[in-house]
Formats: sequence, structure tokens, C-alpha cells
Amino acid sequence: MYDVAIIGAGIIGAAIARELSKYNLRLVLIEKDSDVANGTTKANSAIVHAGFDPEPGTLKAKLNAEGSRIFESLCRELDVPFKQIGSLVIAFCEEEMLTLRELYERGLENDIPELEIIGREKLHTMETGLNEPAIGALYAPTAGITDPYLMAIALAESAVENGIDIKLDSPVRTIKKTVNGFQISCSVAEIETKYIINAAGLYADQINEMVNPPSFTIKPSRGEYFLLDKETSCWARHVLFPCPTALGKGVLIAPTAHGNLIVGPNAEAIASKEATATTAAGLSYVQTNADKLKKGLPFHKVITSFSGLRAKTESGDFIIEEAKQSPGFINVAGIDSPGLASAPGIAVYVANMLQNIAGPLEKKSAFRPLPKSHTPFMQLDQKEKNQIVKEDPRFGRVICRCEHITEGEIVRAIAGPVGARTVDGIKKRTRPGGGRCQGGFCGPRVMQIIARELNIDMTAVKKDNPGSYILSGTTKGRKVDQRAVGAAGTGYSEKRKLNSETMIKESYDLVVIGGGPAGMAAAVAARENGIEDILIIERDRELGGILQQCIHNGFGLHHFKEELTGPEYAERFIDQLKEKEICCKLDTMVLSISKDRQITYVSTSDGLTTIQAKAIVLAMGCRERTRGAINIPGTRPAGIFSAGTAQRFVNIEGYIVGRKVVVFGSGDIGLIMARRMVLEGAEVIAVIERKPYSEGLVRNYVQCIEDYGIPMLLEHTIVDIRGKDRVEGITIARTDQNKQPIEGTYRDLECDTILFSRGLIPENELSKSAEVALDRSTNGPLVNEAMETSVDGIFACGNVVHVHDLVDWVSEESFKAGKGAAEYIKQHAEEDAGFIFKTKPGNQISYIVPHKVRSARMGDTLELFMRVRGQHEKAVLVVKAGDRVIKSIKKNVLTPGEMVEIKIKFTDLPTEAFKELSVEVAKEDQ
Amino acid sequence: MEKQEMICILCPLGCKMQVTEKPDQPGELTVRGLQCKKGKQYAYEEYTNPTRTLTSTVVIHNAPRPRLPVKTNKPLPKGLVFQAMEKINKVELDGPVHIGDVIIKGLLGTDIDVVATRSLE
Repeated sequence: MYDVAIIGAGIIGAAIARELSKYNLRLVLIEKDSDVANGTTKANSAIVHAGFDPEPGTLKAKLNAEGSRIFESLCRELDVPFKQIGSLVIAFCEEEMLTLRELYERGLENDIPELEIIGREKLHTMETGLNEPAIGALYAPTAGITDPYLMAIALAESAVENGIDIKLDSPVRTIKKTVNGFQISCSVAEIETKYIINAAGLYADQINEMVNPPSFTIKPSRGEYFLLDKETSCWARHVLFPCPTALGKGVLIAPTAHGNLIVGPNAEAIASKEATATTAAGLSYVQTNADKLKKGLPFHKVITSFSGLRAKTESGDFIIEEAKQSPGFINVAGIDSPGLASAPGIAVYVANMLQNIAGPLEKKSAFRPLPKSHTPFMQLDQKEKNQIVKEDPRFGRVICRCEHITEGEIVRAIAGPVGARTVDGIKKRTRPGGGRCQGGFCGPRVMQIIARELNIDMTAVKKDNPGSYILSGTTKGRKVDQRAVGAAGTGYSEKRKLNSETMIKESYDLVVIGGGPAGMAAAVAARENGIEDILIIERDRELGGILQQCIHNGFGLHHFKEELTGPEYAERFIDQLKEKEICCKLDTMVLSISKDRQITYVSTSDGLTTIQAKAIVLAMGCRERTRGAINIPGTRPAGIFSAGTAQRFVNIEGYIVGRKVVVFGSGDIGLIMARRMVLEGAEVIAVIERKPYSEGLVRNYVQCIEDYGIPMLLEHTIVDIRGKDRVEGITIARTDQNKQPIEGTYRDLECDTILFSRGLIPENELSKSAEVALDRSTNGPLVNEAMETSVDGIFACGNVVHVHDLVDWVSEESFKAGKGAAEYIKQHAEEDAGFIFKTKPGNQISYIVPHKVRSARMGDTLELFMRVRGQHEKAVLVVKAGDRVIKSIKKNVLTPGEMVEIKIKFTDLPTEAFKELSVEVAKEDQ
Repeated sequence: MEKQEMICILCPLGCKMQVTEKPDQPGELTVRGLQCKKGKQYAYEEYTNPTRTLTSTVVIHNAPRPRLPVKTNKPLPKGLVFQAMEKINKVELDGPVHIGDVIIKGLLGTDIDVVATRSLE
């Protein structure tokens, strides 16, 4: 028998549970989902509103003011991020200024401190980049940003620490009145309780009506959002609102507590309480309206979009009252905005209400604070970092490379009082998968850690609720030996670590970052050019990079003059490294590089270490473009993978990712994965390509698609993804010339899995930390003929510079980088460089690498790599030095999918200095 | 003989070819739709005996990975691919394995072997 059962573990239920856990009460928190903070709490603006907005005299006004007053101290107590950055409601005309005045007055009535109406000049100084016509704003310095799910989780964990019970995966089926109170039937348990607090969010009306006659209806209102890359956080210093209208607060722009930028929401009344899909119309509305505040927001930096449902009621105010017909049954319903800011106030209010009903409650003699710090590893100072790695080496292993989340933090999140049990649970608590790759790299490793820590099979690891399975089985129908996987890296074969550097040395001649094909080739070339003191730093547990999962053939035809598979190609280079005794640190993550070539890395053995290099070669490779980045609307169930992630699961880890597969995008990885899935027994429903031609190599089209009779739908796109827990189907449409869906051509396809093969993006976050200048078309560093970047002594090669289609070209380019670095170290760089000319992409050429050439260093031949825009038949590539045509090369066909290489002999070039070497596409007859 | 449609894979042009056997000269082919000479040899091979290198994985125990990547050491007649997969799917072996080790000798009675494409030790 419980004293109080709280139904719903969103932020409201969790805040109430925590408040009541201060008293001597037997409490249970009941949640229908697999985790706390899984409904509205999971998807909202994450704003702690100052409180000027609600109608004076309402509960909203009172509790928002109270909540926002205590929010900061509560966050401090619970170690939850809170930044009081202030909000600006911006007016663009005199009429809106009048609205601001009203809001200001309302704010005074609501007792909101420090409100100020500011004029044009002050506004544009406080917040730069606003659209020019902005004439003033209501400034509320007490508004802030937080992380609502960390808050809810911390509240729930604090409550559990103080003795409450929590029941997850427990949807309430029925509630009966009993002599002593109520009996709640959940799917898994019968719960007797004296009092009920109904904090069931969107479902609060249904819970209420299990015992009471209908007294309110929850009407979901959907809001859609964009989340942008951390690079864009400078786009808002405050929470920026437009002037509110009858429709609501409008589309806001704000930084998030984790340094991203959030833009949204729209507001759409919707019938279903499960309709958390995004829509093309909703997202486009958000984009258009955000544009009214600040023009030119970098929407190409979107990492994901999502939608949340607000629990609206007709009255518009919070409903917090005892049900008339059921003493002891307290409804806490209709908690829409400003619900987050009000949560702490609501909790206190409900506790007082319970005291009024049940009589005075006895406070516990000792309330236990949350025992352990949740401080992310990266926020610790250097000494603390080293200390924690020493105590638990798992803090030295970075699992999420985008957000720099360590294995130690993931294990801690699982072990917490309300521990994570799912991939989304980990993401909510520690953020792997919340970064720009959206879990593409770390997903498999996070799942391995969950499986290991909870002692369950990998196939039992869910994304979220029980239906959200991620893996549909194993390859070969045989179990995967978890010991072989070594979970997330521990116990990995030592033999593969030959030459592995165990000592910490403070300086090296050359440090190569990345042990994939590019890094290995650069190291080999540097050694061959006389550099002895070389270190390769690799974040994975073995060398070879992505080649290890590319088990198909087609590699090496140019470089080794024979056809190899990816692992074979890798092993040839690994053998060369062994033979040359080149040192490497595996399972080691570089966190930053400075302009003067200091490298800071972290590993289980070395902790946080900074070393100095005379030269650096950047060879970090690339990542896949995600579903979020290309903005495909729909739900966000399990079963959506980037093709490369699926490739890793199938080829290395031994798991099948789905049975009925659609591949979106006809890049080579997509085509190859389509065949792989068929060979492993899955059905590939279609490959969908927006363009009128297949993007991958012809060979891959014939041997992966045609051979297996897989339909390829050219000029089609995905316009909707359906499925709550797992993908259930998609809607596709034909595309017009601008690759936009054509109305009236929509049709549904049933599938359980979608593989995205929509292009690769060089990973240059480290390059940026060293202030390396990047090319906007390649997203990689600007380089010269020796592959040296804009920063002295820092070289780059492989897919970090530009995405290659053949690894053979990567090796070739990397030899140049290795040789260039060797010459730099040997100080040949000071020798005469001749004159310098730039390369210039002309008509229909999207980029050329290298970008700059020192004439005296180019040797006998200069190799230019480039890609064309669009497809061209019977074309000529015209090379000009200045205005002079020095070469014309006939090409039967040019396509963006195939990199073009042009060799220019030194003797082809004019002897006198010139500034630009350009290449353009011309028609053959010209 | 029947007319066969095929796409030449030798260059990005991807010529769509129509291949027919000459009625009066068995073994001699007529290839239409080609834009170069090289494609004819490909068309001949693809018409008479299309082959593919098959790559996959096999189950491995006592190794640092649960699956070992493998390939056929020579291209396999295209028609045998699914039968070959059945054989490959049944393999279960113990580490260590060295790159090039023969995993299945004489696949489906051919002179083609399935070999390891990486070392796992």
C-alpha cells in the first residue's frame, strides 16, 4: 500500500515525486514508457520562461513566477545545466511595441523582476544580426535555457535516492476506488494507494476519466523544431521571440544548454496523442518565420528536426485540483508552456495541496542529495580528468566522437538510480547520438555497452520503447560471441596492436591523426622520406578505418594492380607499418589541435595528454550525411540507419539491421549495402534516387542492383517516414527538375528499415580547432601541391580534404602529404618555392584539389583532382594558365560521381609566372 | 539465341548494349549500342559466362571479431551466387586465421576457393 501514486514520469511527475520524497511517505512513480522524460518533456523549446506572458491571476502566472525564481538553485542542486541568458521579445512596428508594453505591464503584475523595454539601438547592440527593421524589445534577463530531460531524470533520480519506487513500462489500464483509496492496474502490477496524482501529460484526461466523469479534455498541439550544429550557436545570444499573437508565442531562436541552436516551434492542433512526426509544411513554416527575426540562418547546418506535443486544455490555464467526485485524486493537467519553468512551482503547490487533503505531512529527518556528480568528462579540468581516468580508465575512452562522450559516462548513466536501459535513454542522459553524426559512429558501440552492462543480448537492446528494436537478428543465423566484440573495446587482441606506443613521449617529428588508408599511407611515405619519429593516433581499436567494413572487392586496381577487398587493402598497409615499426596509439581520441601543432588527446592508458609535433598530417576521414541533415519529415523510429552504420553492423558485428529495406540515395555505399542485405536474406524493396541517374559507379549499379533485380526508382524522393517504434513504411513521390516532390505522385511503400546513402562530409572539427582554412565546396582544408594546409606544418589528405571514390587515389594523395610533411620537417620548406599560382574551378567544375601550387615544388607533373557539376557527354576539359589554353582533354562522359584526375606536365606550363590555373567543361565541338 | 540487354561497366558512360548471337555464326555476337571497342570483350564475357567475385563473412570463434570477411579467390559463375552463399553461411571456424587462408576448398565442385580477406589472431 502506497501513500501516493504519481502517474506520469515527465518533468511534472518527476518534480512532484521529488518534492514529496522530502516527506515520510510511501511513493510510487508510474510511467507507461520505457524511460522517464519520454513525452512532452523530451521535445520542447527547453526555455525557462521569465513569466511575463501568462494572464495575471492564473495558476500559470503564479507558478511560472515561482518556478523561475527557484529554477537556478534547483539546477545547481541537481547538477543540471541552466544558463540565465535572458529573453528578448522583438517588435518590428509601433503596433508590436504596444504589445510589448502590455506584456511589460503584465510582467509587473506577475511580479517578474528586472523587465525592461529597450529601444532599437540597445537591442541591436545586445543581439547582433537581427533583421534591420527591429525597433525594440522586451528584455527579460531572468529567462534561461536548460536541459528538460536531464532535469526530469535528475529529479526522478533524486526521488529514488530518497526512497520512492519507480515503475517503468507500466501503462495504467484501470483505476478503481477502494475503501482506503485506489487500486491501479498496470500491465505489470496491481498498485494500492491512498492518493493519486495524475501527471499523465497528454493522457491526463484519460487517466482522470478512469475514475471521474469527464471534466477537461487534453488537445494536443504539435510543435516542430530544428536543431542546428554547435557551430551555429553564435546565431543567438538570447532567447529570441517574435511578438506573440493569438496563435501563441511564435517561432523562437535560441541557443541550447549544450551549445546548439534551436529554432521553432509552429503550433498545430492535432487529433492524435502519438503524432510526433515532423511535416514538410510545419518545418517550412518554422523556417519562414525564423527568417523574420534573423535572415539567413544557416539551415544547411541542421543536424536534426523533431516535433513535440503540448498538452493544451480549453481553459488555457493549468488544471491543478482535487477531482470533485474522488477525494484524494489530484489532477495536474494541461501543463503546456510555461510548464518547464513552472515545474518546481507546481511541485511545491501540489505538495501543499496534498497537505490540505491528507493533513500535515511529516518531513524526513534527512533528505539525501544526489550523491554523484553528473559533470560531463569534457567539462572537468585537466587535473580532474586525469584523476578520473586513473580511477576508472573507461573515462579515457571516447565513444561519441562528436560530443566527446566517454565510456565511463555511459556506464554511469546506466548505473544511475534511474539508469538508462535504451539507446535513447543514454542519449538523453549523456548525449551520444545527439551530435552531428546522430549516432552513426557511436550507435553500435553504445549498444554494446548497454548489452554488456545490462547483461542482455545486442538484439535485445532497444532504441526506446519495447517495439523499437534496432537489430532484427544475426548474420548466418548464428549467435554473436559477445566476448569477441570485447564490448566497447576492452580486451581487444594485443597482437593487432603491434608497434603500439605505450610510453608517453612529449614530442614527435610527425603525428598523423587517423589510422585509416590516408593516415597509414602518409606515415609510410614520411618514413620512406627519412622521418623516423612518427606517431599515428587512431580513435578506433584497430587500424584500417572504414576499409575494415568494406568487405567487397574493387580496391587496389590502380595502386596494387590487382583487385582487393577493403580489409585486404588495409592489411597491406598495416603490414608495411609493422615492417617499418611505425608507432601508433589505438583507441585514442584527439580532442584538439593548436595552430602551433600541440595535440591534446585522451586514452585509457595516457589520460588527458598534450604532445608537440613538428608536423601534423590530418587524416580523419569523413562522416555520412544523416537523415536529420537532409530534413526528411516523418517520425523518428528505430530502423533508420546511415548505410555505413548498417555496413558496420552487418559486416563487422554480425547483425542484420532489418528484413524489408529501402535504400535512399544511390551512392556507392548504398548500392553495395543493397546487395549485401539481399545476400544476407533481407528483401530490398527499392533504391530511391532523387536525380535522373544513379550516383554510384556503373559497375556497382550493374553488379549490386541489376544482378539482383532490385528496383531503382530514379527521380523519386521520400516525403514521409511512418512508424512509432520501428519503421513501418514510407511515402515516396516523383521529383521535378529541382528534386522537389510532385503533388499527386505520392504513394506508400511498406518497409521496416531505411538506409540513407546521401553523401559524405569531411570531418574537420579538429582542423577548425587549429584554425585551418576550409574550402566551402569540399568542406575540407585548402591545400597546396604538397597537401599542406593554410597552417604552417599542418598537412591533410584523404577524405578529410575531399571525398574520394577510390581508395587508390586516397593513398596517392596521402603519399604526397607524407612526403610534404617529411620535407617540411627536414626544413626543405625554406628552399625556393618558385612562383605561386592558384587553381580555379571554371564552368561546371565544383572544386579542384590542390588549391594552390608552388611552381618549383610541383615536380615533373602536377596532378589535379576535381569533380564536375551535372552530367556531360562528349565534353572537353579545358585547362588554362591565366588566359592561355595549355591543355584540352576530350572526355566521353563526365559525371559528378566520378572524380576526374588531370595530369599537367611542368613543361606544359608557361615559364613566366601566372596567377591562376583554371579548368572548365566545354562542348566537344567548340 | 535470345537478345540480351546489358550495361557496359567499363566506364562511367555505361553504354546500354543489345547483344545477340549471329544466327549464321554460332558463338559470334552482334553488339549494338556500344560507343567504343573495349566494351565488346566485356559483352562477350557477360553474354557467354557472366562471373562475379563473391564477398561475404563467416562465423569465427576465439578471435577478436565474431565474423571473418571472405571472398572467392576467382570470379564465380553468376548463377552460383546464392548456392555459394548457402555454403558460406554454414561455415564455422576457430581463430587464429591469416589473410589468404583457404576457408572452403573447391566451392560447389569448382576450382574456386573461398579465402580469408583479413587476419584475425
